[in-house]
Amino acid sequence: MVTDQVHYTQNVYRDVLNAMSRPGDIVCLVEADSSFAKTFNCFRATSSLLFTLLDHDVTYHLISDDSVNMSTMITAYTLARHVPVEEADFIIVLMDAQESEVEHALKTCKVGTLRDPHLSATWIVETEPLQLGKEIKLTGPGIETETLLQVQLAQTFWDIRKERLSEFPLGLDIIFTNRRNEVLCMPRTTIVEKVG
Amino acid sequence: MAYVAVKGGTEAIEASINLLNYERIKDKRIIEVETIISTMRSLVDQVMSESSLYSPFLAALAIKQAEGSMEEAVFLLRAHRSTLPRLYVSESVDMNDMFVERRISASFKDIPGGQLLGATPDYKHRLLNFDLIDESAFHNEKLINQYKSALPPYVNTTEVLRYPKVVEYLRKEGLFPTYEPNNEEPIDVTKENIRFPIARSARLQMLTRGQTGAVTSLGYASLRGYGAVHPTVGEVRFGSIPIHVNVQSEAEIDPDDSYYIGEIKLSEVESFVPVTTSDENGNDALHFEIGYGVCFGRNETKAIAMSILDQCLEHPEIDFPTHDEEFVLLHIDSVESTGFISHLKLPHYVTFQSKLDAVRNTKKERDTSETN
Repeated sequence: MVTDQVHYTQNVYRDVLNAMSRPGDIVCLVEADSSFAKTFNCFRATSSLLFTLLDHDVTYHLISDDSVNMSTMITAYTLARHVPVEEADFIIVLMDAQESEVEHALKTCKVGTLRDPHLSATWIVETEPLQLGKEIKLTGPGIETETLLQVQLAQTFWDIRKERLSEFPLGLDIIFTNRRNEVLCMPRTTIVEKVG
Repeated sequence: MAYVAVKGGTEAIEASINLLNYERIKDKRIIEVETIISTMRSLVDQVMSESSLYSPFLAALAIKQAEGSMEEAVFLLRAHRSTLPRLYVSESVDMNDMFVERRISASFKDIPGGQLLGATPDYKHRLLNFDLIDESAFHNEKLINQYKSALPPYVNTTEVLRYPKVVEYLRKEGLFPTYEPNNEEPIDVTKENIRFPIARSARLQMLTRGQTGAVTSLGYASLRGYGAVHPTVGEVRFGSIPIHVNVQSEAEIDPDDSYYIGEIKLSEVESFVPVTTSDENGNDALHFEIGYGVCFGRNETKAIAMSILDQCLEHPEIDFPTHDEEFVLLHIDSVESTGFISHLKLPHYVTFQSKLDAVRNTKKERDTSETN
């Protein structure tokens, strides 16, 4: 069982790595065995990412209406510490998060330093429905021409993201998850434009 | 330097890997991981030490897979290590808690507790033992029984015997100062970018995971005169040390709540180095400093060399390469040095082509100027 978990999270890691190098591609994660995936009260994909990416050496900040209960659970299972948003290595946004809180976090999260641009926040954002559509256009490294997407996020989210990415290589990387155990990555190099 | 990703050759590479697998098994001999653990202890120890991962089983597996190549085995284990989650940080250990299997001093003949040789080839003739060609389990069994029956009778005792550190000798005489414990959070060299000058915690980590040969060579270079440290070995210890983790939050740590998670074997060396300092009246005074060496498993040569280099790096003002942090620490790492050297085998077609062009052009220029 223990080795199952290790192999499982390693597979998830591989999936996320592929998704990260092909921004805008919707990638379905490997299926976890059921007890494992239902540990946290969130999407299966989000659970899998938490088990894969968090350990004692990293910190996270959770944005959710139920953040006290959820973060107690997450810390108990992964041993990662819950910290204020400005210090967090990972920022986790669940479906029930308040828009204003997300915007505030986006404005204040870590974007790294010029010497250590990797010391920035990685976002895990639950969203619905996450599908191909005509709302936003993605271009940049890893995207052959362009990808058109439907992601239900306010325009201000993209505006603030753009602002925080203005001084490359500083920036933040986002992994979107949905109810269908899928992820979609948007590293800092991906340019997002509103269509129409 | 930028590398262009090379594509192609997939079939050739697959065939090469198949051949490699075939070569490993073609003689139809199988060495068990357990056999490697119990008969190649020194090799297992070195791989664990250079990989910074204490697991005899995984080290033996890496040795099997790498067909005994140290650099390959260390690379495999380091790669595996990087995928493991880090769940707890162990409590710091007190070396006085070591279950000592061997402990000697080259500085004093009579040390409290005595010199304990343990198992060592140090005083052996280095003659090949041809009897090992036809070693038999039956004969070995007889030797084991013979050895056991010759042991003095076992005495049950409740008293825990501790071997005091040899340096306490010098402390009592006022020849060695008592330092305040340094409780600074250690740097983790596997997670942080290294910037020089660097804290001693990082130096010790990099030395202890250094390649045995490289650490030994540089320690030797310092002894021979490319450095200014010539120590006397105060104490060499080898034994097991218990490791505990505490799951409480940092605010409420109670040592009684710690969990024992197992023990690791360590070699530890304290070298005494005489150092001259001037007092305020300009009088020279001689006192001792300690060079510290420690590594996973049994590897006394590396631990002694480490203690020399530790002392060298404590004195960066001395103008020798072995006293230069960057020179020592960045070149002793097995994966970094073997990795960089062996990457030279990978395609450099474009790099070389541009060098070739440069040479051709200068030659062409010379030829044209000569004909003129």
